[in-house]
Amino acid sequence: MLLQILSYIVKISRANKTKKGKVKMKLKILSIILAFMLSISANAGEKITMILAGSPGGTFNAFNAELIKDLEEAGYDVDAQPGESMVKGGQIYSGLDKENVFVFLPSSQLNAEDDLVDREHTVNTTAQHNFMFGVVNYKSLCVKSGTDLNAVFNTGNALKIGMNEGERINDKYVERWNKVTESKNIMVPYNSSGKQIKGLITGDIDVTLVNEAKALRFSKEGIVTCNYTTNPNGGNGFDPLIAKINDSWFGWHYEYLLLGHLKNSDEEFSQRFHKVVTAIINDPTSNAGKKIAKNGWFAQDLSQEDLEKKYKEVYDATSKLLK
Amino acid sequence: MELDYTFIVIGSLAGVIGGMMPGVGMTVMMISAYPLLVSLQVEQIFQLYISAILVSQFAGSIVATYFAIPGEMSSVPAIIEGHGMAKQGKANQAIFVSAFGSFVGGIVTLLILLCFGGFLLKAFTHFNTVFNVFLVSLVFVFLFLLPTKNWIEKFCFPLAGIVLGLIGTTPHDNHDSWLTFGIRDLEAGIPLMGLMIGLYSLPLLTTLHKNRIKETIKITAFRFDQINIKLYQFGLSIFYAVYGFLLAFVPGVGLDVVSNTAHKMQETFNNKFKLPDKMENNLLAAETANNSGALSIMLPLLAFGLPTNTSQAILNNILTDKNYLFGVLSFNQSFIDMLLGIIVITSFLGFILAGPLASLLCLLYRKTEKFIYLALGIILVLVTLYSGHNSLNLTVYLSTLIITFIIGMYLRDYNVLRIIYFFMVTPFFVENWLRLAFMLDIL
Repeated sequence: MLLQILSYIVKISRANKTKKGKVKMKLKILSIILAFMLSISANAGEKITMILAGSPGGTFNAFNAELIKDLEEAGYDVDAQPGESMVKGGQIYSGLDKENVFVFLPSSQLNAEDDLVDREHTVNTTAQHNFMFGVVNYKSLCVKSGTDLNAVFNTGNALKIGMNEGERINDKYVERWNKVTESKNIMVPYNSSGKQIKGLITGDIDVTLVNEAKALRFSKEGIVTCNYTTNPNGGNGFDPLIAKINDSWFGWHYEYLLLGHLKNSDEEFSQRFHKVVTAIINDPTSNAGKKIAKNGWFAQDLSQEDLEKKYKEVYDATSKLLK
Repeated sequence: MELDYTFIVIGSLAGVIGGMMPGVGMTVMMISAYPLLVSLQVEQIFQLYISAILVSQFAGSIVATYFAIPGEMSSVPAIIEGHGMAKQGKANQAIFVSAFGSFVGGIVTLLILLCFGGFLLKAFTHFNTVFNVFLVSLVFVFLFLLPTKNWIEKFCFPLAGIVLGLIGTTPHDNHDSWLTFGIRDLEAGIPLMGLMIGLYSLPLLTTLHKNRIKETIKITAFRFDQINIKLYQFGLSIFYAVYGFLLAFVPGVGLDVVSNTAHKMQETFNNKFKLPDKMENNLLAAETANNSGALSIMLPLLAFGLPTNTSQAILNNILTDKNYLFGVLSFNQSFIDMLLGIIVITSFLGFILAGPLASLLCLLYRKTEKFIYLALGIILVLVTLYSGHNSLNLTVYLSTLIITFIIGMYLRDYNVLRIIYFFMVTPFFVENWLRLAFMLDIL
């Protein structure tokens, strides 16, 4: 196209030799250039500012990197901005006054925690048109390889259970566990899933509830044994924990919801973007789809209305767990 | 982990610069390289850092010998003995003895790792919370016992370090925070980089800029016919290599302690056994122990994630941001193989740099000395602001830098590194003690 335009400009300039003709020629050339520039901007990808909420080398940002590749392939012009941590990323997202700002994080959990301490919501855009897609993940129960995992369900145990959910939630799980199994297990807090696995290896703890990405990785390496998941339907090769423990408490099937939020966009853009990004994450051959499978996550194929409902469900469940 | 020669070479160059920068050393090099390091992969960072650390031990003795100023604190014996020899016209021999000692130190470290690497791997699986508590408490006691100028350094500095180290997310549970007073920007804690540059590096660079090289001797070209090493000195260097490796492995023992104790020990041996070449022996003992300790001093970091000096703390920060897990999950056979490769390469490279190329490096250093501290100061401030901007915490970084710089200038005659050490160790100390309390069902 560019070559055609250039040859047309050359043709015009050769055809107009008089003074009046030269002025006309300049105007024609200017209008062609203007039209060309407009056509370029009309074809250019729609711009999105993506806040990378999460630590630079973390699981979230590894996923975001793959999603950016897919979005760029789909014709979007993505401007990624570092968000450092999840909370910081959420705050930046909420405070940014730009068009089409996007962030991916566990907003329902973060906002429920904020409510508990009477703080402003980390993610302040929770209307239907703000929800773009959802991914669900679960935790898995693990022991050191070579240990009998089923023994942790015995009555009269005094085990050390490694948890990584914050003091309030940690205590709830262990208290319930003790009630169901009539045991005197102890809760040991951790601040990262990797340290939980390390705790199993060094013998600090006997059993741990760890995210499935880590459970899958270290099971494959033969370091840990993880047979049960908080996924009520089972998945990733693990059986449902709720069935094994034989207790209907909602904590045994609590799910972690990661949501993509978009703000400062018109309704038409929001709906289109929701469709595109939901298709990407549900496509097992896309970069993001592959990453989801590798992390042991589950992509959700939900409408914006259903995403909003899901946000509320998990928000309520988290609030209940925290109280 | 495969060896990437590019990063080993870059690391070695950084080591030469860091080692030759009197009083500044690897900490400043790490901060200056921060924007580069955060963009690299974990393996590349390790290769760059370890190469730099090992080569800096070679380079430190060059400035100590010629200009009587320590590149690293561990180069003090090199001033006493090396510069003393240089004044007697034996600069080449002093340079060669240092390089030889460092080389033997590297090779002995290599052999120790080859023989006991497998044992280390097994040992790491037993380093649990109880062990960590014992270890970090030992570090705390050791830091308290270090000689100080007065009671302010003895008690107030550690207290300040502990309080600053506690600010932010609680060390054992990242759903809660301490001493943030409701300011969410403080949840990430006081930035180590801002604190270190403001409190230590900038006041130090200001002092160094004012007091440039005063004492120097004529720099002569390296000549092989002016050097010799005796057989018993070879035996001595092997002994001190093992000594340095073992002593530096104890967390809290810095390389300055390793090289200075080796130096003192050899002085005693010289007198007891009436050995000739006293100055050479002392220099050899200090430099060998220093270089073999340079690697083993990293083992507490690799095993437990416990940094024992400031450059390691920066490395720890960068790797933690990349979700790297120290200890049994990452210290494996392929990591040991990588270490072995780096030791071989840097030992030869360092030997050449600190031997035949020493005079060239010295001339280069003298030419640039006028601008180097100023340039470094500017780079450090810019890198801090860049990091603050990158982590979207510019206000906290800038305030930390300004406040600590004012305090650092006021306290520049004191050992402010004491504050920084306690600041670094406190989260590890609290995390492990709290976890132990939970394990014992006390909390």
